[in-house]
Amino acid sequence: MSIHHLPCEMLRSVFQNVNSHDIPHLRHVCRMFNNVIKTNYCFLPRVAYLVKIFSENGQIMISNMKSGDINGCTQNLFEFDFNHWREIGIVEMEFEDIQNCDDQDVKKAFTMIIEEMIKTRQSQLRKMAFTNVSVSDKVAIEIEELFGLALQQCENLTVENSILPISISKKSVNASKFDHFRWISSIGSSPVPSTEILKKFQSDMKSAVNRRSFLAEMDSVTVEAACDFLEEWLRLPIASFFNLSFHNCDDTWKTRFLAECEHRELTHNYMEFQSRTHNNAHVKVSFSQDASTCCIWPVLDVPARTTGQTVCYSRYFRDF
Amino acid sequence: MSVENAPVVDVDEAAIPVEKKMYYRFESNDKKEFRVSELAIQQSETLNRLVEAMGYTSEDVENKPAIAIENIDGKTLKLVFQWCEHHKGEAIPVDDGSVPKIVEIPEFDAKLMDIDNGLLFKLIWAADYLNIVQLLNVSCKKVANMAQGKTPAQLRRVYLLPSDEEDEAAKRAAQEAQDPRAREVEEEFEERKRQGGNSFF
Repeated sequence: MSIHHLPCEMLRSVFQNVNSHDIPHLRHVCRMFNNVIKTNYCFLPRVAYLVKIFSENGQIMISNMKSGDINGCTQNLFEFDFNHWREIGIVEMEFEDIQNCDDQDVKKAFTMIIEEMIKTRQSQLRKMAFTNVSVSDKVAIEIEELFGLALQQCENLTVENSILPISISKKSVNASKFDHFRWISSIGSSPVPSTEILKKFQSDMKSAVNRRSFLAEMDSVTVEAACDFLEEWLRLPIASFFNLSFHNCDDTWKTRFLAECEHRELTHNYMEFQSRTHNNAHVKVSFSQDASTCCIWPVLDVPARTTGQTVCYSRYFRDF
Repeated sequence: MSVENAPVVDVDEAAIPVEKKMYYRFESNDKKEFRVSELAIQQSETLNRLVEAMGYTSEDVENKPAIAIENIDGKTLKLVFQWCEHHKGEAIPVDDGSVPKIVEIPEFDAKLMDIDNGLLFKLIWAADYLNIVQLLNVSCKKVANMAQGKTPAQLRRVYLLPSDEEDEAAKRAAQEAQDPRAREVEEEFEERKRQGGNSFF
């Protein structure tokens, strides 16, 4: 029995297991393989691509680049042949400098992107970023839908310097997948549920068996939420890495934070909070007065040298 | 049909409660008979539904004729049942549609699938027919691994496939061998076309 005797759905299951860069080789093997791959592209492993959508002189442009490459092919979004998306797996999507564009165009562009993403079964999206994007309320439905997709799939969600007609609900935060979240100097139709996001990280951290890392950068957060997170980390047996930065943390915030810590009996030594489960781990809290930001991250000290150890480690993540 | 020659598949006695221990008899298309435990059958959705629908008691299993599986031969079926016995009681994975699939081939499976390509493809076919999800996953993974980092020419050698040109040449040769007149006619036609072309100018 030769491989040609297998029905095409079984060939498809075979091809689902190969690496994405072996697919073009397989297409060259014979006509049958080529046909199976051509018609089933959306179900097979695809080459990772970055997609960037931006505006240039009021025109909305699209640029597709292979992950790792710097140069991509740029063209007008409305002239782009979306059939190309069948052969690529989009892992990152960036929206940049979309301002002062015609509302109808923006609406049409977002609708097209969402439709094509669904049509070409894009399910590997890991990162979505909005930078300098401001769109009007007329595009609210599309942005909402796009965020829905992003929350389901992305590990990394970044919004910077943007005005988006979106209100992220507490419910969708809890069901989402991200562990890196940045929302800086941006405006949504309702404030970002920063407390909920911290709570989500807190509960993910509890169940994190594979030592994930959690990153958040937000404009403001309540003192209680920050303390809750800190307290949880200090007593968890699995020490995940995290990095939290909060903007708009002025002196008042700092005073209230320290008062809350004292109230909860979280003792610290020069802003280093000793972990209760690990002798050599602590959390460092750092305030920058000029930028009024607060950064919180864990520090794991490895003894420089112990018996039988040939490698000499320096200390990790210390802010000398 | 030789009941005494049926392969005895070892079973861990302690693992199965006594009342659950029931062995079904299956027969391949080349009349080889197999005895398979009830728990192992659960790995195959097709067979599991089939035995459920039949509702055999332990006496029925012995007295009634073995259940025939008409499109799988004995060699393949033996591998399938060996796999099922080894993996009995394991949870059946659910396909979430994500690619590339993350499949690990356990040592036992790797050893079991150390067979020639023809048999391996038959195994895939059987796993699909009997709807044994995990066996289909690992066997597909094995075939896919053979393709890793190879050029098309190497791939043809791995899968023992002729290229399309060779394939067509072989087909033409076979046709000509069957009908020697065809070639002569064709040559005559070519010749005439050439002559006709000359006379035209």
